[in-house]
Amino acid sequence: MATKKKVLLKVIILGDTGVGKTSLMNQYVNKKFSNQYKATIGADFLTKELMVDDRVVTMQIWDTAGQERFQSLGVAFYRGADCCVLVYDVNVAKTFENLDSWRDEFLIQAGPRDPDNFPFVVLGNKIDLENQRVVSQKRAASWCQSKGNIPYFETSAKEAINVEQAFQTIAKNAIKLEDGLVFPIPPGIQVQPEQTQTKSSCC
Amino acid sequence: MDEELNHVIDESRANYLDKDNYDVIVVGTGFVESLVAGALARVGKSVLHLDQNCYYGVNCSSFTLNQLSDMLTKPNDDSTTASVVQPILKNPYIYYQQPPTPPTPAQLPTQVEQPTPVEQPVATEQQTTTTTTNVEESTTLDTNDTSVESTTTTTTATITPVVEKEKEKETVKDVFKVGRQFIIDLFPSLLYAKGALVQLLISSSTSKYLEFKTLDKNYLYANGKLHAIPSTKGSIFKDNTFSLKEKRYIMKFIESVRSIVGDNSSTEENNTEEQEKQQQTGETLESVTKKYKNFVEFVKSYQMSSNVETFILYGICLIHPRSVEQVTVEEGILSVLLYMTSLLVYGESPFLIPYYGYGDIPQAFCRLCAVFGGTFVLDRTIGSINFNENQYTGITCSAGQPLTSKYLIASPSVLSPYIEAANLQPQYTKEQYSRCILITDKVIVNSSECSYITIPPNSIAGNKSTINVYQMENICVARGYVLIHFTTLSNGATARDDLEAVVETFAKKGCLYRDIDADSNSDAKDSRPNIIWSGYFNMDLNTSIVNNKSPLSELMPKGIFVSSDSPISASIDYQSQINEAKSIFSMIVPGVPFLEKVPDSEDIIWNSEEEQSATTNETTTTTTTANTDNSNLTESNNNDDKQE
Amino acid sequence: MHGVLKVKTSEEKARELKAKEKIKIDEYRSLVNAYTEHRKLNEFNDNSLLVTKKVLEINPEYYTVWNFRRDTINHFATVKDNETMQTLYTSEMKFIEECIQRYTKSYWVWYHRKWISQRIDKCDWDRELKLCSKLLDLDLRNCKLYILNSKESQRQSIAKVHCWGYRRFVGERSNIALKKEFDYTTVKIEQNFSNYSAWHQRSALLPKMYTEPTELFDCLVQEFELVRNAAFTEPKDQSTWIYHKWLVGTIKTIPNCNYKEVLEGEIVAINELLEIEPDCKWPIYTLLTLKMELGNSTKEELQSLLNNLKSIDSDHIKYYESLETQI
Repeated sequence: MATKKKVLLKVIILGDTGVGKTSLMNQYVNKKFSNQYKATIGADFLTKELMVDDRVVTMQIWDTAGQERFQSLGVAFYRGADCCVLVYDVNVAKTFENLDSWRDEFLIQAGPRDPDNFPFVVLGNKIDLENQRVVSQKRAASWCQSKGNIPYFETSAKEAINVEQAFQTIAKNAIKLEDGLVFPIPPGIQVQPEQTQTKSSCC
Repeated sequence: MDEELNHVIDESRANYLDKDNYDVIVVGTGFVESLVAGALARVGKSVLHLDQNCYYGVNCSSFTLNQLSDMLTKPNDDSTTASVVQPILKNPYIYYQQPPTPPTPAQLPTQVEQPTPVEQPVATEQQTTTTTTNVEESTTLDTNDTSVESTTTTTTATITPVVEKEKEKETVKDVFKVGRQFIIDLFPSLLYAKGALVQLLISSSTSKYLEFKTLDKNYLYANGKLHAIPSTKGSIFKDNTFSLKEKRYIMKFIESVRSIVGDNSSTEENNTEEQEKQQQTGETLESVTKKYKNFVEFVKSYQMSSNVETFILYGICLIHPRSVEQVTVEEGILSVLLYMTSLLVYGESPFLIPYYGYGDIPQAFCRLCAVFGGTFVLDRTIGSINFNENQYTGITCSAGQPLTSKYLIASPSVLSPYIEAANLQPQYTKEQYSRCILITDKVIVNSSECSYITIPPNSIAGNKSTINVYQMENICVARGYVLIHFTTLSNGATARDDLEAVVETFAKKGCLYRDIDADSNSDAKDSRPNIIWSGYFNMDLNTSIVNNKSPLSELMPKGIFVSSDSPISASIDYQSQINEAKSIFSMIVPGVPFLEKVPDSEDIIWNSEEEQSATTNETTTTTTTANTDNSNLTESNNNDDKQE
Repeated sequence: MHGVLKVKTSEEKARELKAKEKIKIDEYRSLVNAYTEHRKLNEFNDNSLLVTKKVLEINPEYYTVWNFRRDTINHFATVKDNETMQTLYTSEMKFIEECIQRYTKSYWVWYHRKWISQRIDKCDWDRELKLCSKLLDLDLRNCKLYILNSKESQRQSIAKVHCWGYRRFVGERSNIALKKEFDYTTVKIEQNFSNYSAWHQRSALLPKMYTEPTELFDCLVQEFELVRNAAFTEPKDQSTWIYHKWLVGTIKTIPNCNYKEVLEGEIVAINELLEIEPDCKWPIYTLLTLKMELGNSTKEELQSLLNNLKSIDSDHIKYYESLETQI
């Protein structure tokens, strides 16, 4: 029973506007893709349960809700993140170059206790548009290596390439962080309508 | 998307918004503004939300220690600049103890035995230069990281390695190393478990963005001692500071308040009929409001001991304006009732604390706004407001882009030139608060991580107004440190004048350091807290006078609404700010429900691919309930397997 | 304007709910059928354990299913080795634990736990006590000072009675220190003293803990003090006064002690209470019985107390009339 303890992981996805953050989440959780680009109106967070090493893990994947557009993500967004996913578009150089500042932004805002070992995962998205590609796999991989061996995946939300694998790794690394804490952070209370409360207390 | 790339290339307009027309432009991401912005986006209004700072919350923000220290060392004085950038921390003063040159190990015990080592430090040869001049040596406007390091390194140079390890966390230099782990509210606050704000967070579905912790203990400072405030029947029963008769009076008062408000749910087992008979004279809120001129008079009518009166007026009723006489009968009664109904909801204490600071609350409503299509731009504000005749038409933002909207919502500080022009100052009240933020190495109240202390007027060094003290450990604080907030209404004096004596009483003399249950004398001295860093400042906050409608807004040019910039009020609850947000909301969209619940994702009809349109419909929080059921089933199946 | 989200109508929701419920009901029916089949054929095998478990998970009040489950286990005990049986019992305890947490008030679940725990070679009684404590803490959140929905409180008190009963059962079987159990009742009483079971538990423990008369006397004096605190906090709470009655009855029986002085003290305290709460039945009644016990009051004094009781508690007028004959 103890090994089956439920775990809730908060994963946040960062990256420039238009790199496909919402599409990746949607592909992974809802197995849906829409070609039509629109700013991520209405995207909040998606929840998915998965198994990681014999454990049931609930992964909450948080969308930026468009607040990344003008570098206006508030610090609240970063609170308690267990893993940070950095996404860029392999066809747009600028989105790759900005990974550095997204990573720094995360480390400053989230202030993890052990910044050197905080789990990041990098996703180079939109590889289905192969002939337009400007960032080589090698370049991306070497950046990831220089930042402490960040796992790197090349994905296509549209074609569902590598999405499943990427998120499995994300969950795995996030859980490692939780397990590794010497002083686990006591859980906070979520306020809810009363019925839900009693329900959860008696089961 | 190509279009967007072009924008990026055009440097001068790189920061321009794609869209230049909105239903509503909101300036400032303070509490009231964020609520209104979230509510308007929620009902489909297009919202642009700006903030002149590069963080959310204005006066309702939380900062790291490093940020706060910077703000205090580079003060932003409102008299010098034309455009006011809030928050403004006035009369800043930073104090920290110079790390003493450590005594040799042999001398340590002697020092401990001194009755008041901080006030009259043992003048051992090594110490004379530093500790005796503690207060004088404190730096006022000089605590950025580097200067701290330079002052401390010289004094710590002679420290032997062993002692250094012990003293490690007690120096300013060290606390700034973990300064980012502090989350320091400009105005700390407690939320009643059944209070208006918690209810709104639940009903508006914004609670999913927030986490809380319950307060551990609530204290009243009276007669030079801290008294844990007993509030549940069990804790009154157990309490050993009140006499038997006082216990009965407290219970009787609470019962009578319930019956006045007409709360019928009170019936304890077995005594319904007795209770009915026992009820007082059938008083109602109306009748007692007529009968007594204020809450104090009402409380006094019960002829309880002065002990119990203080306990009710300051410990259970938590509305503390300049004078206790200002609390109306109704306010007082409702505050007591709110306290009682909030007990045992999430824990024994009636209060919740935002897990990552109060600053996350406006951000939760901003996120709701963003999820419903609101656009957020920090570090940008109003350059100028544009009018056609007396009709508001839009703004030119600080990035130079002209933007149009039907409505503009901003706080008094942003709109101050217009308020002055229209001579509207009398329409809002300006209150000055004194604050002290103290970081110590040990708790001031034993055995409770997060405690709230109310100090009634005239308790310590003749304090004129009620002082709230709020101790935090483990949350919002780097490990090994304790964060203590002091807040009081100021009578024009500086924060230092208002609070330093209190801070000293608490931390330096350690005389408040005691737990009600513990015999204090013996071990208290060893565990007396040391001040590692403290910062004092004042803040002026404007609250517009709201009574269901906002008169201030009515007097402004058409289309402009003024919000309060105060994150707190005399009450520790948020009803008035929520009412204000509601009233602005309903002036823009009359008759539309305010912050309705976001439907459960399982109740939302997902558009199939072809149906997807520019409107939103992809609000996506997939349900977990179905999955949870599944996992339960798997678990029990496994049990079966084992059994067979 | 409000069309940001499309939401299912209430009919659609109701339909979905109904469909879901139907699936559940069908599942349950087929489980019950399977159980009946097994029972008819007196089939005691692994499958009968599985089926009964599934039925009971949904409906723990179906007591014949518990009976059949015990029959099956009894049968297993005759054909399987003890080691196998012990494993079975352990997993059975786990299963009941899950049931108990969901259905605290079900008598059958508690009975089954007692039944199994007696068959376990080395039952971890400490753990059983902890389970009780945990369950009794659960009701703490429901015992708010003034907000008590009476239906809910009834449900809770039934659950409490079962749980305290099981606690006594465990206490008798394990050699848990009496003092430890006594301290536990103190904790529970401090949380909420309107707790018949906790006071009752105390009255059962005290005479066992203090066999020496002077010790018992001293302890009872302290108990009076405790009860006085409860009575002043909530004079209408019956459970405190019933415990008070027990204290009076017990202290009298202690040989060679000055119990009368203690009772006189109680009279003073109750009179103080009645100054604040003149119309409260329990303190008046207790005062009356104390005075009758001491026998140094005038008939008029007693009569006036009785008259008072008759007027504020007319439901028990017959009882008070019967008392009149004794004064």
